Amino acid sequence: MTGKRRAARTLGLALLLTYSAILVLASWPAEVAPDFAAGPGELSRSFFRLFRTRAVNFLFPGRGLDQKGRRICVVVFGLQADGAVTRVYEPDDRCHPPPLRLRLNLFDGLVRNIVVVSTDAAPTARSRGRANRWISSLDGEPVEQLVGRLRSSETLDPLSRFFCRSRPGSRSVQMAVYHDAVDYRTGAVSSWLEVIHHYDCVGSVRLEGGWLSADRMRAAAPDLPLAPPAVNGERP
Amino acid sequence: MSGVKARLGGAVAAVERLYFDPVSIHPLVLCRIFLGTILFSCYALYAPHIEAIWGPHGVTREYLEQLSRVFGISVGPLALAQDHVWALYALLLIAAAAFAVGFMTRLSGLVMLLCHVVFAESRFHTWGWSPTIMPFIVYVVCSRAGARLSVDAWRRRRRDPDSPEVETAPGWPLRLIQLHVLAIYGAAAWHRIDDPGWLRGDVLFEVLTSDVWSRVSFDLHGLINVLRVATWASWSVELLAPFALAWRRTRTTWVVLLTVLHVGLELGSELGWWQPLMVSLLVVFWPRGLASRLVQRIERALPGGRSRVNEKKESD
Repeated sequence: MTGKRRAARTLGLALLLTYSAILVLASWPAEVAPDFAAGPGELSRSFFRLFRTRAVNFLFPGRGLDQKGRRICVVVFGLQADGAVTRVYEPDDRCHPPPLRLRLNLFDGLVRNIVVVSTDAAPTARSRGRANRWISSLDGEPVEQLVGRLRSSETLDPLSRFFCRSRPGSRSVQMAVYHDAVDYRTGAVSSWLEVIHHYDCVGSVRLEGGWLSADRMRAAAPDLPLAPPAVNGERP
Repeated sequence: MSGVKARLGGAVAAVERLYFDPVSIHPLVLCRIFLGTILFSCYALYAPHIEAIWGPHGVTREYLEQLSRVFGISVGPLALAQDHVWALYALLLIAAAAFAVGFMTRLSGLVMLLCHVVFAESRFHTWGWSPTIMPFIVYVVCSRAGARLSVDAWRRRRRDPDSPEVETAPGWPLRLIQLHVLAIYGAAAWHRIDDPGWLRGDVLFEVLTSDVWSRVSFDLHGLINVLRVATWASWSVELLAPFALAWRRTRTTWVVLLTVLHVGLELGSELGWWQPLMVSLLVVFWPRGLASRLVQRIERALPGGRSRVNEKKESD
């Protein structure tokens, strides 16, 4: 092997080893890795936050969202056959969320629903109803602020239009935030619904968002998971 | 001192052999076909909805613009291609098909990757497989995956019927894929070790009853204990995967277990193309010779395949 070829091979080996080391270090989560190993993963997340790009987040994107790091607790409640709401999943006891957790990360939910609508050429078992919902606490943002931000946002208009176009014959789209909040200190569950966005498919005019009580909403949509045990009841 | 030096030299030589010694290209050939097919299938299924999602008045563009205005988020590269979305889409499909069949393999792989980056960056919701597939395409593009079971190989044979068949190539692309797959299982499984949901075994029940993930609509409350056992079993398989796949004695067993796991997840839940992607990547851990036999068998079945030509020559 000539000298030049040997040098190129050594350089290539060094690059491969460096990349491999980064992969291995970045793959070991903070829960089991020493502090120094958090560097590559943290670098990737910083890049993600700074440039809002997912292209570098190639290892395991679920970690890239870093829900633990951002102190976001996703809790999933299920509706039992007898109508009681049961907590079926909660990720992290060490997570220290704000006192109230909010049901449904609205944007995630909406965007996921769009995927369902747009790719569901042959609907599978989509009739599962609304048994489970996302419950998120959004990194310390007060519920009132979040609702206000959503209500004033025009972002929901194109989503509404998309729903109307995807489902011919639809008359209107109502988007609601499910405030199934659990107070961590007392364990009390309070549950209510608020329509934050009302979109008229026929006229394609956005109507003023209105407040609806849980009772009124239940009258409009009786299968919503607002069983009595969940309203001002004990934490399941 | 000299002993340490010798051991260090031995270790460096071993690493060098690991990355640069020739390995069979057949697993990479199959990876190329699978990755191209996955991206082609994924985007082909979007065809009826391209305008609605990515078109000039599609939800993604409006959504992006609204997000940009309300939250100050960058719109991303789709904004550059928003008026040419059909051209970009067609280019992606052509490139993915060309990559899968091995036509101008490296160029088509790069074009496919770039187009996919543009669509994936549009903030349209896809599962995590979408960014994860990107480095694997790069590894395969860097390899000689287009040298067999491909249009490129067929054209080369037409030009020079006596050219030797490519069987091996430097091992580093294969090693990077293997390492990356181990890293994914490590990252996915080990961060759950303090997760009460996983520790209690509730996750599979939650997935199968969720209106986000589930494909089934049975009342599963009666099976909750069975699903707990299944959760712990599948988690154990993933937890041990980085070690079991690396160790030759347990490798084949774990390939089978992980394949069953991914197929089961695909049948019961909807996570985009995660499961096909991972099953495809497990090819690089298949028992030695299995990928080669499969590639050769397909080549024999194809009209004008190399093996058939060779057999004809031998019989002459």
